[in-house]
Amino acid sequence: MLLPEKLKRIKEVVYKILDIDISSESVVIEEAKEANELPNEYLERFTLYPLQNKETLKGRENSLLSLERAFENWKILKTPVLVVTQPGEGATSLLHASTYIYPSAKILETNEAIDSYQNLVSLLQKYLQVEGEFKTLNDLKKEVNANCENEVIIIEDIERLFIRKINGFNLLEDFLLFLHGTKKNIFWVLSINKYSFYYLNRVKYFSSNFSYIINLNPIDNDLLREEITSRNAGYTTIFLKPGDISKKVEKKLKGISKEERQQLLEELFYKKLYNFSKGNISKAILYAKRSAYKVKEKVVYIKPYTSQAIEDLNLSDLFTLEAIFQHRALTIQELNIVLRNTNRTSRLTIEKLLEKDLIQIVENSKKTTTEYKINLMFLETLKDKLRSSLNRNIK
Amino acid sequence: MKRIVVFLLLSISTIIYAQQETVEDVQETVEDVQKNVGDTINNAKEIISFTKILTILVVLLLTFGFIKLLNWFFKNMVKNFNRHRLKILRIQPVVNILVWTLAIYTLIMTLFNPSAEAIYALMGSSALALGFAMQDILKNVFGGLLIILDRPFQIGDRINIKGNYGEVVNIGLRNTQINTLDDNLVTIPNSAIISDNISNANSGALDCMVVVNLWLPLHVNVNKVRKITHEAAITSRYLNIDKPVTILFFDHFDHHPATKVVVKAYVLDARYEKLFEADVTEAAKKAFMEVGIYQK
Repeated sequence: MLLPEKLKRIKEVVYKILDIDISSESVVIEEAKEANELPNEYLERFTLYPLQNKETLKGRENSLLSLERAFENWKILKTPVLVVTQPGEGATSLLHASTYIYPSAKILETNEAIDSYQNLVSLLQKYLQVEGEFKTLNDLKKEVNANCENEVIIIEDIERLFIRKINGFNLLEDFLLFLHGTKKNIFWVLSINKYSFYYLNRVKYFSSNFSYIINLNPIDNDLLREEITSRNAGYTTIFLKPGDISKKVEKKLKGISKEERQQLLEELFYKKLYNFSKGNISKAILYAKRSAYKVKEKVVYIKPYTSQAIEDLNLSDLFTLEAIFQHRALTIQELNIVLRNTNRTSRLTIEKLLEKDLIQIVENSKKTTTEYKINLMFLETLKDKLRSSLNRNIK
Repeated sequence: MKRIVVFLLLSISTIIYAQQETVEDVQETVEDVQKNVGDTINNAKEIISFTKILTILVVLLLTFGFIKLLNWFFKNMVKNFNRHRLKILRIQPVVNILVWTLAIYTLIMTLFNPSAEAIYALMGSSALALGFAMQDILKNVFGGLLIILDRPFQIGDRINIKGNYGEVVNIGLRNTQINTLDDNLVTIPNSAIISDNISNANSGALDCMVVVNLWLPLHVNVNKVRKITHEAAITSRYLNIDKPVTILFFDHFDHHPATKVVVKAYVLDARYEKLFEADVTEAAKKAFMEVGIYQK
């Protein structure tokens, strides 16, 4: 940890001991207002989208190698593979890019929770391209084993198959039975959210179903820098002094030339970016986007983003956030079920969390109901909150 | 006759001489006493001067204030570092006692600087006097020290003593305070605590085991009930998911034959013990109604 970061940490601890409200001390950038003034052409460069091929995927060589090995293993041992990932780490990109290993793979992407048995059967039938009418997974299994061979099915966000309620695990367990029953003929590649994995592992021993588990590692800082630089290509970047600069650095900035000052501010910006993103590519991109202070012609002014301090969250807010963490995204109706809340209570909590910008609406035009997900910008801070206030061992 | 006169004269002179001696002795004694009293008063004035009394009062007041300040720090730390709440609370009584001991020791040594003999004599005589006069208080004080050193429980633990179940909120030198589930503050003398059985639910850990009892008809489908009760526990927001959940069945044939289902699970924080119990019971009851185990 860098010295300024250490000092900041010490300051936070002292503030906590003295019970001083950190939020009143922090400098908050009116990033929404600033962002509105930025041209769309520039903002679009920071849109998050999954990559489709191996060539454009950076820093995931080891994970791709692990998938290659897993596929080779399956040919002998017939074992499925599970990819455990945090939101924004690029699991979708990895799974799409991995199709060079198994070109005939079918990717099952669903933005909605699979909430009924029939829904699951028809979805699997569609992707497995099996004709006929099947009422149970067992019937489908027989058909698959009779007619399919060496198929590869990739299913993202397997946590969509469960909901934290009594009988809410049945679908996931049925699917796991189906997976074990068909793994000789189908190479299953599944991905799961890290927090759902943590929960399911504790209550249902989920990981014991997989002998091959891939955890995504943080991306190298150099690669993150390369990525951000490429997104700013075509623009001249001018780095501005951050809001929370130390006196020592400020003094140093005064005594150097313009070029040296830019170099120092650039280093400072990237240090802050690395520290914020912790190897998470999406978080790094969002950080860079929020740091864009002004765009004038082909010049972009970058002022390191200062994150907002989270106000005190009550127990109900924390449980709501935890439920969203565990399911990746939830609707209000699902939240009522998970937390055994009334509709009014859930709506009020959601409104509060939206107001604080801790959660966001999932953008999906196909959906009829609104889903809410954790705001990536607060991922680490909220994880810390859950760890300290709810006694959870989330890593 | 002459002999008688001589004897009388001798006797009279002896009496007069003796009287003169006694008066002188008394005068001497009085002078000695006056001198001793004067010395003692001077000594006492030296030992207990107005300045010293004022110093003692100021130091005790400052110590009291310092302890209040420390307690405020502890309170803030407990609030902001919830995960380490019990560790912080554990240190609090030890620090309080150390500060008081240090303050009293510094006062005695700087103001009176007593010799070793004086200390032994003072200890001996005060032990005897205090032993009779403050027997109960001393019992409590030693009880308090034993609790702090032996640590059968700590601040933040959920204990049951003499039928009072609740969270230990303070361990003082004379007594211990427990906040019961009905939010009553029960003060128990330390001497009573060390001579009684204590059951401690969490023993310094943040979580604790909660036992939920559910009563069902004898002829229930055990597999169905096991699944429902297990999932009622694992889906509860208050569950400590890092610890196991156990479901047990017992048949009772007393007045009303019934199956007792015991759910043993750990709550994430001992403070939510009853909320967890209620949450599991509520969820299980709703599910039992849905499958027809309980009549709607």
